[in-house]
This record gives sequence, C-alpha cells and structure tokens, in this order.
Amino acid sequence: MSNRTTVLRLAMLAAALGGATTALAQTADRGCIELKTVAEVQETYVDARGNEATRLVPAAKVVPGDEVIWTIVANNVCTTPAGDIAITNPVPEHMRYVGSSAFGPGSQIVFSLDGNTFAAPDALVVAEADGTRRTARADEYSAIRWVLPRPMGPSESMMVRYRATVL
Amino acid sequence: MFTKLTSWSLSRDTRQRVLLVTFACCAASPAAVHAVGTAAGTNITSAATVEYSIGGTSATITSNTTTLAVAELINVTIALQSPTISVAAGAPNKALLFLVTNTGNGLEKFSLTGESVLVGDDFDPTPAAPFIYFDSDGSGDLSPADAPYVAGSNDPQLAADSGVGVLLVNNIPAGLADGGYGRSQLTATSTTGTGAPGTVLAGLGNGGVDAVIGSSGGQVARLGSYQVGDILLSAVKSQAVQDPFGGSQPIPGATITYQIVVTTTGTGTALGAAFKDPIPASTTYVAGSLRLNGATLTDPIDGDVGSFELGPARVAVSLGDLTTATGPQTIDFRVTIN
Repeated sequence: MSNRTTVLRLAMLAAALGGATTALAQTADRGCIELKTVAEVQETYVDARGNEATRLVPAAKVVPGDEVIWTIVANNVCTTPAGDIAITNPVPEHMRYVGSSAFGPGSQIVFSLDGNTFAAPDALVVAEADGTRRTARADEYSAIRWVLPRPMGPSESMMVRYRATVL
Repeated sequence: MFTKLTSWSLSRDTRQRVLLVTFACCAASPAAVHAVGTAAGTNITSAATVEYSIGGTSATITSNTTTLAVAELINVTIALQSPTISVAAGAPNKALLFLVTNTGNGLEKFSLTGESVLVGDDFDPTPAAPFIYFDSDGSGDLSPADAPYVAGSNDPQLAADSGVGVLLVNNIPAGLADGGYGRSQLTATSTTGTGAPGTVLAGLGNGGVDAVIGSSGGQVARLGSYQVGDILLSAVKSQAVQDPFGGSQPIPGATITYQIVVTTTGTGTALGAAFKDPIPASTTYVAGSLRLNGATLTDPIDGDVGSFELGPARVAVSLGDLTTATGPQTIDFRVTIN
C-alpha cells in the first residue's frame, strides 16, 4: 500500500470517526490541528453468514478487566503543512496500558514513566527498592507519545491507537 | 477449632474421644487478595494533546475529553476453608467453613442457600436448624457467638473485595460405615441479579449505574465434605523437672520438659489432627525447644508443622492425617519456671 493510499484511508477513517476534514484555515485560538479521542471496545457478533466476527463499537460503559481501544485522530485543517508533530496521551487513570498495543503508521512511538520524559521501551529503567535496576514493564507506562518525523500536509490526517485495560 | 488436647484434659482423660481433630487452616479473612478493580460509578477520562509547529511557531492543542463510566461488575467467589472433616456417625452440629467474597467492584448483597442432598457421595448429612451461620467470632467453627443466617433478613452485604465467613452446619446420621463421604454445598447468589456473563442489568448497579454480570454469572456454589471415621486419639502427657542445682525441685529457674505422646486407635483417619498446648502460667517457653518425634520444629509459623504463638502463649503442632498405621506421635518442649 502506498503512502498516498494510507493517507487517504486514514482520512476516510477520520471522517468515519466524526472528525470533519475541512481544508479551511482556522483562527489562531482553534489551531491548525484538530484532535479527536475515541474509546471503543471489541465486540464479537455473528455475521449474516452465521460466522463469529469482531467489530469495534463505542465504549459506553466498561467493567474492570475490559480492554478499551483508544484511537486519536489528528487532522491538519490549515492550508499550510504542520511540522514537529507529537501526539501525547496519558494512560488514563484506572487503566493499564497493554504492552505492544500502541501503533501509529509512520510515527515513532515513545513512552514515559513520569509523564514528562519519553524514551523507547528499552531505555526506560526502573530502580527497585533494593537498588537494582531493570527495564520498565509496559504496565508501568504512564503516557504514550507518537512523533511524526515528517510534516503533515494540508487536509492530511493521521491516526494513532493503543489499548488499555480497566483496572 | 482445634480440639483441645491440653495438659489438663489429657491428664484427667488419657483416652479422649476426638470427634473432630481437624483444624481450620485459615480464619475467615476479608484480607484475601483479589485485584478487585476500579469502583463502580468511577468515570475514566482521557484526552490527548498534539504539539506542532507552523512557520516556526509552536502550538499545543488538546482533544475532546472522552469519558467512560465504570459499571458495577457482579462477581462472587466461595472458598472452602475446612479440610474434609472427620466425623463420628451420629455426631451433631458439624460445621463446614466457607469464605464468601465479593469479587465485583461495588457494594453487593448476596443470598445464601445450603444443600446436603447431593449425588456423588456416600451419605447425606442432615442440615441442622438453623443450617447456615455466619462465623461471627472468626473462630472457624460453630460457637455461641455465631449469628444464624436468615434469608432476606441478614443477607450479607459485602463491599468490593471483602468477604464473610459462613458455616454450613449438618448433623451426621447414625449407623454410617467408616470411610463414607457426605457432602454439603453452599450457594451464594447476587440479589441484584444473575445471568450469563456479560448480561447488562440497566440501572441496577450501585448509584444507578448499569450492572454487568461477571464470569461467575452472579452465583457460585461450593462443596464441602465430611468423612466418617471411628477413630480415637489419645494423648499422654508427662513432665520432668531439672533445677539449676542439679536436682528436680520446681523452683524458679528450673526447667520443665513436657512430653506428650499422641496415639491413634480404631478405624478410619483422623484428618488434619492438630495438637495445641498452652504454656502454663508462671513459666516461660524455652525458644526453639519444640520437637516432634525428636526432630526440632522452628518457632515461627512457617514451612514446618510446629509453631510457638503468643496471645496466649502456646505451642501448636499439625500432625496431619493420622491412622493407626501412623504410630505414636511424640511431642516435647521445655519451659522455665519464672
């Protein structure tokens, strides 16, 4: 799949998720990037042929143990490219990040333990009470950041996603 | 619910019929560890931010805040706390201890039922009246302080992750053969509702949030067992005094060595036999002196079968399942006279 197709599909997805893709320049206080957060859960259903299939449905209510799929969509609604793009999402309170679940086409994904400093998973180190140090576990991440290494053109969208479990 | 094989009862009755020499492994403890989860009614919120720059100017935008309401999860477990209980045929009021725990995430009330007519066992215990008690005093056995359960009147209302000790009390029919098993079952049912896991009970959760049936289906049952045995345990206690001057006068500073020999006679198995002996008044236990069959047992409650405990001071030895084939069990320990 070419990059162009990816972008188009993401734009369609963004539209499907309710993000209005307009190419009009915005006023300064609204900014040039529209950002939308959506929570969904995976539902198993029986399709028309009687086979079990899964689909994402809006997460209206959850109980402990449920896995929620969080999707964040960014649209550049201005007429000029936006650079240095980084999307940051704290792992919500009462939730635990599911290891290896973060993805974002074309972006570098880094994580944080304290919410301020971000690094790749193998560079995140935890000091134990006895002084020993170890690599942080995914369930200890407190925030996720997606860094897009290229500018986002006018009307372009990007989607990032991660999963987290209700504690 | 240790059967008390104390020095006093034993010195009077060298052969004591032990109707119940099992012991409760654990008092009903609400501290049982469960990852209970986020409380019903909690709102989980999330918002992302994006940083970017256009023409050298940086900006930060925050997304909408998405809110997830945490519904009440209805879940319950029952853990059997008693080992299989050795009973004599005809014995009244034999209690099985269960721990009912609310493993959901809200305050939930449960109804309790018991059933002793079950398939798969050798005899049916006869429910006592009342049949179900709360282990109110935490003794692990039926005692006068325990409150009877009355359905619909004092259904246990349990906070998330808390539990209550429940006793099922049965009479053992007379004339049963040794070795036979009889079972009795406790069932706990959420009063909010039951159903297939995932069933949503709209608005019925704590504070009007939705309730969702968890993996238990909102109801759980657990079996306990009795085994008939015509087994007798007898214990003989003797003592030897050694004073600081090489004599055998019971004076302050003298050491008393107590020896207790537990002997099994009859048929069947004394399940989970436990020995417990208080340290006599005006004496002090000699640390590390407890032995079983000549082998030293450490004082802490740990991997070996013996322990020294305070409040009140006593030694305890778990003898395990005893039969006549096991042979006499010899326990000894030392105290000094204060």
